[in-house]
Amino acid sequence: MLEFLRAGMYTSIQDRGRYGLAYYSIPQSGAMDLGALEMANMLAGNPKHAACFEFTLQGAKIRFHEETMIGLTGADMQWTLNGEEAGRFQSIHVQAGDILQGAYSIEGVRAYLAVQGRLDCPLHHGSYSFYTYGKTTPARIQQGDSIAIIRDRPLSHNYVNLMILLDHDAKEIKFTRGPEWDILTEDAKQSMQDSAFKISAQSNRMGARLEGNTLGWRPNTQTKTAPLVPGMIQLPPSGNPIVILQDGQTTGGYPRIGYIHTEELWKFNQIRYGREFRLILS
Amino acid sequence: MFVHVNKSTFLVKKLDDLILLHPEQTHSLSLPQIAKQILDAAIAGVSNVIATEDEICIQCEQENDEIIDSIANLEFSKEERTSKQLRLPIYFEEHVDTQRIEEHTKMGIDAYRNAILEQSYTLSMFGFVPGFLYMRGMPKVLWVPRKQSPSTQIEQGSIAVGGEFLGLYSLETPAGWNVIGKTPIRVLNLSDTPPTLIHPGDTITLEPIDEKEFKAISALSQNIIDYNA
Repeated sequence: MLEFLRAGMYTSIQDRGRYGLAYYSIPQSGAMDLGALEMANMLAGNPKHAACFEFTLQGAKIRFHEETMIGLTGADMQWTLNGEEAGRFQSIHVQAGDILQGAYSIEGVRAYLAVQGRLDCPLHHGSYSFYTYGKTTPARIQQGDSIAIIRDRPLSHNYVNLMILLDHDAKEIKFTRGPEWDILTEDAKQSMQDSAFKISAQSNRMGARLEGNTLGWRPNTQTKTAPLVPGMIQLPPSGNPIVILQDGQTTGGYPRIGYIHTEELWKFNQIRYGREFRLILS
Repeated sequence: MFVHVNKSTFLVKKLDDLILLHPEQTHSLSLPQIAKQILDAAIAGVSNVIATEDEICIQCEQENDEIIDSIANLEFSKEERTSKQLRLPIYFEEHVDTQRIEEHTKMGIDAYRNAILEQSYTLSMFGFVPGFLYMRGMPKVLWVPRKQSPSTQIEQGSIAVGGEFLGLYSLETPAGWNVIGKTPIRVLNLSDTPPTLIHPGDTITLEPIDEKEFKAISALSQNIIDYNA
């Protein structure tokens, strides 16, 4: 069992997400940086897409009530185990009573903790990912929560060290033209590629608001409700784009001016709020 | 590039791992109804199918031309799913949005409610959040534009007007539509597959109930199928 002595800013359980239900407006959810989740599972000796804890901007303080193997990846939350530095990207052996603690991230936004075994949480439509569902299921881990670990085989002590240095501070994000790209004025098309954007602090797992040059619509633009998937860039009349993210709505009424492909979106989801980056048309 | 799906012709646009279908010429089925057939065919490599009135979006595990061929080769049973006719009770509750509705329609709220009850509605599409229904059938005189900024949380079961659509909110969410009343009947069961008990093409008539009946039906915790049985 793991006990959350402190929950962190926004901590949830995520896996690959749920698919086939967007028709019914159920978002896919899942890890914001799936590559980091996969690595964490490899370190902990888990199947590739086992459910992990996802931390946003700040780590949690966790007491382990049993011996296990863990893996930490993603953002650098300066993790410590019983006060000693706990390295990311390598397997860590923990004992009952050990305390893992994370601070504010100094690089990247989302960090992942994989624990060998299966986290005991409800399965909804093939996924353990948390999603608010309008408050009918838990959206996040709260202080005092305990999560049991279900293991169907003895602990495997297999140490992996990935010896990698990841840049979580991308300066460029590739995008392709969205279905309604042509509602942009010629100036806005240029501006979208030439100028710097920042992710607003008013962003969450549903969407990221971009700050930068406002983008203009052509006059007399008609808009209709259209399908949305994570990575779609919408343009509200304010002229500040919104990137739809993993828990985002499945349809929307604003023009879809661009699309950030899945693997680029994982990079995008690690860019810290307020840091400048550019959108590169590909 | 074009693809034919169940007697309809679509223009195909590819956007990385997405396939977008736009109708060139259609028959009696709406896009959400055709999309349901594509979804139910469970084509390998398709991770999601989303439909609005103007577009079907197929999300694939990766860029994949074979999926377009699979869609073109889908076989459809001759018998199309028959649409259901369902009754939905509505309790017209006094609401802060009443004034907005009266101002926009120049109708008194009683006349507006009576006009709402006279229509029959068709479920056009899903969207926004789970269990949200977009229903068509309001004549233009009853349309009320959506609010510029969404109001705070509204009750689950709220029925509201947003432009040309009548909407049903199955979950408590922030809402930008104009609330006219609420229903004690559920159309969403999140733990089931499919999670909705009503499908695009189904028709709905509204039945007025008073506060006492609202409470009595709420206590039964009925879904729309039980209610119509």
